[in-house]
Amino acid sequence: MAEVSQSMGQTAHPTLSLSACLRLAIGRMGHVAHAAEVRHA
Amino acid sequence: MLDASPAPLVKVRDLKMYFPIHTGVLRRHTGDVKAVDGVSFDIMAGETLGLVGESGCGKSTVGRALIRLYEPTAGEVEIAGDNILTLAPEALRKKRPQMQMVFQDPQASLNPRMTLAQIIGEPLIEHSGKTATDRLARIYELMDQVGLNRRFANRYPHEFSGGQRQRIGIARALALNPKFIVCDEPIAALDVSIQAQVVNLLEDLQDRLGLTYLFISHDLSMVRHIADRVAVMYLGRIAELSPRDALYAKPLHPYAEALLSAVPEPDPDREGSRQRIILKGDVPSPANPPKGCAFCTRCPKVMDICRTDRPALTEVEPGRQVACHLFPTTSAPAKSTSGGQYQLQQHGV
Repeated sequence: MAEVSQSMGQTAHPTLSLSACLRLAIGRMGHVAHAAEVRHA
Repeated sequence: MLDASPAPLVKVRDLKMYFPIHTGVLRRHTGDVKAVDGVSFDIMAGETLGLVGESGCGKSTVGRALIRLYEPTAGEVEIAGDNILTLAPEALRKKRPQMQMVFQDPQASLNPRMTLAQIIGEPLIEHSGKTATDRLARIYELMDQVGLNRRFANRYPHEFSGGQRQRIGIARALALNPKFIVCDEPIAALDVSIQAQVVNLLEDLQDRLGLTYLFISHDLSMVRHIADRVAVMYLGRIAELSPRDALYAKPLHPYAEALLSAVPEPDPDREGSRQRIILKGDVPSPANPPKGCAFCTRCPKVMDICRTDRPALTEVEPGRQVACHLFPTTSAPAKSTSGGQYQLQQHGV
């Protein structure tokens, strides 16, 4: 799919937007918290 | 199909595409996979050049390197007067509308979260600056050109058959009125009845819009149907480049001969007398190709010189170029592979 975008002149490696970074970070924190809970249980 | 006075639209000179091999803990560069190793050819305006060869010989890599979806290691690629490999990113982006690609797998090359209208309209948003109304008019025009019903504009790729999906891919490639289209096995993922429809569509569009194609395929019968000239590749190099009819009537390179002997004959009498050439052994690794001719390890007509000297692609008959020591060098190594002007010089090898 990256090559398809590239053939149309779009960037091959899209940069992450700030909101996407935040969502990733929050998602990661949730994952870590969940894993900690599981370990604790 | 061919123009009366053809001029090369695409010129490729000594194109090399090496993929580095990194090994060890420090990921040191220890070698290269030589996917494309010094390929040269021309494609005339309005012509279809077929590129055939077995899996892994570098056909798709040539196609992708040509429009700089890969960054080639060395060589020159000129499309409509511009050297693609030296263009700055912004200049390359502006050049993209002139060169487009139809991808092999229509399922994988269409975004499942976009509707047909969004997919076909994406290059228009990127390059044309049209208003939404003009864009929709152009999308409908493209859908008409490739034979898709306008009612399908808001449907998603999974709602279409394989042939229809490939038509969407073709419409997207046509959206910006390109001059040159790389068709990378556009029919490989389709069943036989749909293959004919798609190939006929590509031919129709070529006649109407004057397109130039590089048609990559391993389907030799289909290449015979659509191509004007055919290049046979083996292990990253061109073994033979000939006009279609001459190649299929009498292949010169031993590899081309073996490859074409695999094409079945529709006439039962001729099929009965057809001599298959079965090659022994495996294709050598492109990371460590033979020193001389790439085909020397499997060639039934191998000579001592084949193992030491790499044969250059030379013109052995008017319009026919072969890279093989069996054919005495009658001209200087082919710099231009156009089928137009032929100058033969006797060197008496």
